[in-house]
Amino acid sequence: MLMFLSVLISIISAGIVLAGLMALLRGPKRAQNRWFFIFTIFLAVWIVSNFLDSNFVNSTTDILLKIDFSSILFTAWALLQFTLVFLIRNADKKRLIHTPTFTITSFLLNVMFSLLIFLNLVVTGDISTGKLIVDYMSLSWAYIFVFLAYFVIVFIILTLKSRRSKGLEKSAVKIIYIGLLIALLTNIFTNLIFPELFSVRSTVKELNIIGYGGLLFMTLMIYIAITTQKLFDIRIVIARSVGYVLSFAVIVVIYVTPTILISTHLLNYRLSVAKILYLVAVTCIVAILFQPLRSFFNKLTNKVFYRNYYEIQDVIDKLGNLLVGSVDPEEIKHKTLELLTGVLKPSYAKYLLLVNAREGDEQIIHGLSMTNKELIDTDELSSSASRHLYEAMVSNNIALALRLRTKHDVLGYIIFGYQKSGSSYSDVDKRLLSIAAAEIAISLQNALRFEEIQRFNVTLQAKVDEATKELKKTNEKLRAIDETKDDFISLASHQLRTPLSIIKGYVNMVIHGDAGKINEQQKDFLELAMLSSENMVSLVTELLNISRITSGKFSLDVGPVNLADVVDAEVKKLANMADSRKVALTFHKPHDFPTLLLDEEKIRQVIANFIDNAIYYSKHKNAKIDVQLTSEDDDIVFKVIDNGIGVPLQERDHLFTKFYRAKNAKFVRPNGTGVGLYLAKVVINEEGGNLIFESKEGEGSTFGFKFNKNKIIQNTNKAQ
Amino acid sequence: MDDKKRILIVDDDDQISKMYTTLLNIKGFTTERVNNGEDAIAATLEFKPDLILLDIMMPEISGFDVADILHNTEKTKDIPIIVLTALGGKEYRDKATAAGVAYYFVKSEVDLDLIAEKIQELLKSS
Repeated sequence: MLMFLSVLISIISAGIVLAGLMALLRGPKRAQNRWFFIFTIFLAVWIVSNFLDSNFVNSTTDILLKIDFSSILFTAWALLQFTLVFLIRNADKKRLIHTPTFTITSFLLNVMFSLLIFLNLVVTGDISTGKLIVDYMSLSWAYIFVFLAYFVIVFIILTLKSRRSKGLEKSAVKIIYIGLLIALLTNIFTNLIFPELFSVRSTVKELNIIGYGGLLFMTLMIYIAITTQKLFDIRIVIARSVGYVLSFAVIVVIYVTPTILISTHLLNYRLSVAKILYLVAVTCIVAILFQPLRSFFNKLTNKVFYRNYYEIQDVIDKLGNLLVGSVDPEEIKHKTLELLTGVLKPSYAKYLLLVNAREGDEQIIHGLSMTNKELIDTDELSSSASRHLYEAMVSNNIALALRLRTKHDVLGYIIFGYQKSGSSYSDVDKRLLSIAAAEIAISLQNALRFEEIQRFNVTLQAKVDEATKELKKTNEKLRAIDETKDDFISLASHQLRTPLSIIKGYVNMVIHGDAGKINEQQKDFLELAMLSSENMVSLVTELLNISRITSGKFSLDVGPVNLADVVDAEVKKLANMADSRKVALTFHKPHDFPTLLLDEEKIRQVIANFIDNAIYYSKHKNAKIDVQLTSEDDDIVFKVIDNGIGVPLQERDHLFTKFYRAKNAKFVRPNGTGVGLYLAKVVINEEGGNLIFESKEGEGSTFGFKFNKNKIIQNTNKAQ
Repeated sequence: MDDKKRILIVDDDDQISKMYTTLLNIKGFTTERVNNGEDAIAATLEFKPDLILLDIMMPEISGFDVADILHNTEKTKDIPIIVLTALGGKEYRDKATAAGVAYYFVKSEVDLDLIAEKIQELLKSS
């Protein structure tokens, strides 16, 4: 029936225009959307005019025919424009054909052909027979050529583009391709193949609808292609489409076949093809609409019958969001209770956690955990074993207890009172709670641990601060002790040296005869006493230096030193002692000995020490000590060469260590301190020189040092 | 007015100052001794010594301060000072030199003869 066909045509053209409109509204600034809209307009015009001029033969048919043929040309043109704009995205890759020039030129071409059409130079319609017969005129070939050209170019561009494009673009191209193919196939079928197969023209005409349907499909495909922003698999589209088609086909067959059979055989009512198609279409629409309608009414009835209706998924989502947003246990507890109370509407809800449980709570928790159940419903506690628990729960007004448990620990429970409405908790509620329990437990545990870590951090920080303070105090004390030690050493040495210098002073005076004349013997005795006191002074100085070395306060007091003078003085000092031991002490003072930068006091001690040792460790016969001070090419060399007891081989390595005394030395001089050589080594090294030591046991030793000449000061312009 | 040279001995240790007094008296000097810095300055102004033998380590006013003050006072700046002290060390020597000290001796190392020599040297030149 023509009526139903008209309805379908209206739906189809409306659908096409709608798609164009929506695309335009969604992206009014995009050229491709605009061209798509224009395309849909022309296509709709064509579909309507084509339908009308085929089926309604009257005075308007001629004009309609001309509109039909013009509009299809413009449709093809618009499709080409759309394709060009859609596919050529990169501004700098503009193909030669897509320029405003081309658009305008082709538009004018179309206009020209339309004029030709209206001038009856392309087609004319003959309605004399009551049906439209189309006659193709001379210029129809040009028309057909242009028309086909548009389509060919579209296909070429699409093919080229589909090879080169990737991702979203490629999907879009594929979709358009498929749309176009379907449209093409359906129209070829309906306009070329079906007429050959079916002789009944009316049937053929009615089947044109399939061709139009194909066009609608194509439009929808293009719409999808240009509005989708995300990548989707073309296979999914095909799969879904095939699925839909198959399910519709099944529905249709199941519904339509009996309908046809019943109407033809039982009711004797003949159904035309049109009516059948109509039935099919309606069935499909109903099938499509069923699903959304159902969920809509579901929600509605839920709202009516379940006053406290909620979607579990929504609640879980909300719960997830709030758990993620917080690491504070109190906040988590508060917010979760808020959410759950809002949804379940209990008379009360609270947390019973092991972490900060009060006395009574602990018992309850214990009782609950004995059941080893995730969700404990008071009403379901029936067995006598849990009678105590039952009583405890009733007396505390607990309706529901939800266990919070992670893989290893039970954190506690959330307890709920009965619902305000008085009803008990539904299965949905319980399911929600068990899902929530797991999430809450983990979040809460994390939050509690985090809190613990923070507290630990604070205590740690406090402890560190305390320790630091202690350390500082101890350091201060040590430093104070250190200072006093140093003062003590300095003081001790000062106190020790003062009396010594007094002894030296008076003895010296007596030796010089300032207290009256003295005889030779008296002089000798006093001189020996002097020597001893001088030794004493040396010892004290040595001890002082050792203390300073060990406490790190050893420092050099460097100044210009004339070593020749120093050596000379020391030799003179020790001459008497050498004499009394029958040791020949010789020293040839060098002339013009260069001045050096040294710590005089300390190097003097070293020199004295070496000479002293040589004297003490001499043998009895022919003892000779040669003191040498020479200036060689690069170095200054000081040596004390003796022919004394020497140093045994195995003692050589230890000789210069603190307090070490070689065996043979101990024998000869039991009171030695073992400090002198150690000090000598330290001093020489500190001053930047090198120790000289050679020895042969029983034959003698050489002790000395050498300094590099760069210790010499360049000019001695000081008066002293 | 006797032409014996006068020497002021400053040391808080009585034993030391007594010894130096004896020594210098034998050598033919007139001596005066004090045992603290304040008195040292007063004695300098009063006794008018030709040379001062100065100890550093003294309570309250140290020898450095004394030397400093004397060096900066018009009346006393030309009196040569010999420092005799237990303190060795470059810093002290420098300090002393800065205060205008003529000689610096460390007690334990020095020879009395040497001191006497230096004293005579100084006094000869003055």
